[in-house]
Amino acid sequence: MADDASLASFAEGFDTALSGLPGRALTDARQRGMAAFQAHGVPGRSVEAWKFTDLRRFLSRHAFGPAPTGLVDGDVAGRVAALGSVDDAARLVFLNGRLVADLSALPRLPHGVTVSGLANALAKPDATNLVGLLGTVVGETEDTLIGLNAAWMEDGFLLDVPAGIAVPGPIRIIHVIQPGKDAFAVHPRHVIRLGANASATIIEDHIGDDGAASFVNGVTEVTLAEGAALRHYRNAEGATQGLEVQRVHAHVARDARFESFVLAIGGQLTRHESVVTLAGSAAEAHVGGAYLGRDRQHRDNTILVQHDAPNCLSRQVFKGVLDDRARGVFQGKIKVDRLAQKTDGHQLNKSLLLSRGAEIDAKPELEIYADDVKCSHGATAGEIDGDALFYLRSRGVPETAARRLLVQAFLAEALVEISDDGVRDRFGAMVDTWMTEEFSRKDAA
Amino acid sequence: MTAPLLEIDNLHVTVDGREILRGLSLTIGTGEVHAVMGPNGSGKSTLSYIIAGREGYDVTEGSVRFRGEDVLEMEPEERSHAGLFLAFQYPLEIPGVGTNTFLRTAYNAHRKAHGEPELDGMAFLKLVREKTKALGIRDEMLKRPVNVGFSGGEKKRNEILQMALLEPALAVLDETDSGLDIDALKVVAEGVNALRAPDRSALVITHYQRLLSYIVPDHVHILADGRIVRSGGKDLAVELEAKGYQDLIREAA
Repeated sequence: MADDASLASFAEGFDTALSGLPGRALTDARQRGMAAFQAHGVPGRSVEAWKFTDLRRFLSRHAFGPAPTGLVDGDVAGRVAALGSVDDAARLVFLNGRLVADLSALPRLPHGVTVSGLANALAKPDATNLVGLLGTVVGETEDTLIGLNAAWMEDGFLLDVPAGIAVPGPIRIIHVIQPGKDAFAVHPRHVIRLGANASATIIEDHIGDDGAASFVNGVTEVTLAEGAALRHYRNAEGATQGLEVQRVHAHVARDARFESFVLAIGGQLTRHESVVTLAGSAAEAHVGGAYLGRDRQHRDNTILVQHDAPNCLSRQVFKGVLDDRARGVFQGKIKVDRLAQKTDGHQLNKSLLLSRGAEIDAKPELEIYADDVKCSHGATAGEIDGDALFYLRSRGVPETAARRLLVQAFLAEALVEISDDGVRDRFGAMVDTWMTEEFSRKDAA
Repeated sequence: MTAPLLEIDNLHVTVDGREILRGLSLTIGTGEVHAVMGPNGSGKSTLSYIIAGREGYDVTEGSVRFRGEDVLEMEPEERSHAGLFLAFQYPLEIPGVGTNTFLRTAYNAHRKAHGEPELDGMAFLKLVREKTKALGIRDEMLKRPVNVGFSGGEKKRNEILQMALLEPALAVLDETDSGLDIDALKVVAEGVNALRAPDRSALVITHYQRLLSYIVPDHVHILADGRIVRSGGKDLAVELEAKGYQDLIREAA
């Protein structure tokens, strides 16, 4: 049970709110979700998957109300424009979890491609199909946060690409968090569906301002049909006091390719959880990320790649830099079914700890039931290499610049996993900015 | 003797509480090439690292002066800016940092330290290409991460390339001949010789006489048990080759 008073706020008022939530046909599913949530409440350390990320403790510090409607203050349009290359792109902008139509635009999408907000889609007469789709990838699970999301989901983005269509250019999804006076929670639900041999690139930016705490409990359901290719990139810059738990569940059919990369660079708490099922032969999953934390920030990457079919390939590459008392968590698992012969699965996690107080908990796991597979994992954590540092300094590179160069080089090995040049450059530039802050802060200290 | 460039006086150094250098004295004048030869464990690498400023070495007595300044008080990068250069016995691999980026960062750090404007990418590439050509280094090496996947010869050539770019007043070559075949050795030696000039000095640290056939020193010193036990001209290296360390050290004792 969600015994804590602040956690009870997630259940409080649900029955009365229910009639106001979009999609009447979802009522049953919402109630089942709430029941699943209430059975165990917010996960804490006693739950194995949350052993290193005590979400209950994080959330218990605040009482989360509903998200404020409309503009709180500040310039959302300016914030969005500052991200760059947004003007020409097909884009949806969400403010505190809700679609802002004025800032969204869908120029030049190929015929048949649907990009829309979930709330709008649910309000349409033909919403029955959509209702049937929601929850099919994540399934009816005992996961309490997915239950909570199912109960409260209000808005999100839908991308539907019919078979054979390659969407040119990235689709930008921009989530802006503008905190008001009081802490609030949102539970976005996103759906991405690519038909056979379709392809698309999605760039999500999660940005926000300083202010009261916010809890974002997002769920994304991805379905890739045979031969489809999705590139899903996320800039998790977040709100300063943001607590974000983002789950992506992907179902990848034969010959399809799922590529995902998360740059976790801001916010108090981020947990990016990916559950990728390689369901058909020769499917591929490339799940990568870079995480940067300072002060008491918490960065969690939890991955499960499930090989259910033969000849599939999966790569997990996660590298992070942690300073001060920041904490990182990496839980990566490759699970190979009895039928998934010739699996090629690899997993790598490396962390660079810039201070004695920083910490990483790495839990790499292989669970293999097939006998003809190639699977490996590696996890390392350490400080900047003193010999390399001395080598650079002996060539005249000042200590700060030498450290910076080594940290950048360390992260470059993760960023190289991004196949889109523009995104790789942009994320690289964001890392540079973080580094400039980091080292100017150190020089000042 | 010309004006002293490097003066090491009665240097005592301990590593993890063990005394490695025990009263080493050595003076190198401007434009001179000195060789320090010694058996394994005599303190050769400690000498090179103490000059370059690596951590983990405690100086308990004595001094090291470069152009009259106390080197031991300087950070490694300051020593580099002042004109000291150590060619490493085992050059470090730095994954993720391109060789060209590394070279340019180092080169521009020197320019900045000397109050000169930094070179942009194009101007630097032109400069570095002149140097690589002279050293027989393929441009492709510049694109690879620093020393990653380099052969022994390529690593040493990369050291000499750095030296050629930074044009130090004093180059310390720590066992530069180790792990090199004769062809690579010649290339490296030619690179060093090309830098010989009246205002440049070198300290060649080596176990074997072999390298000194190609980089001919003005002075040769025998290092044993943490101090210089004998000094002489280039013939001393030849004598050493004939007699071996044990005899020579015994004679000196």
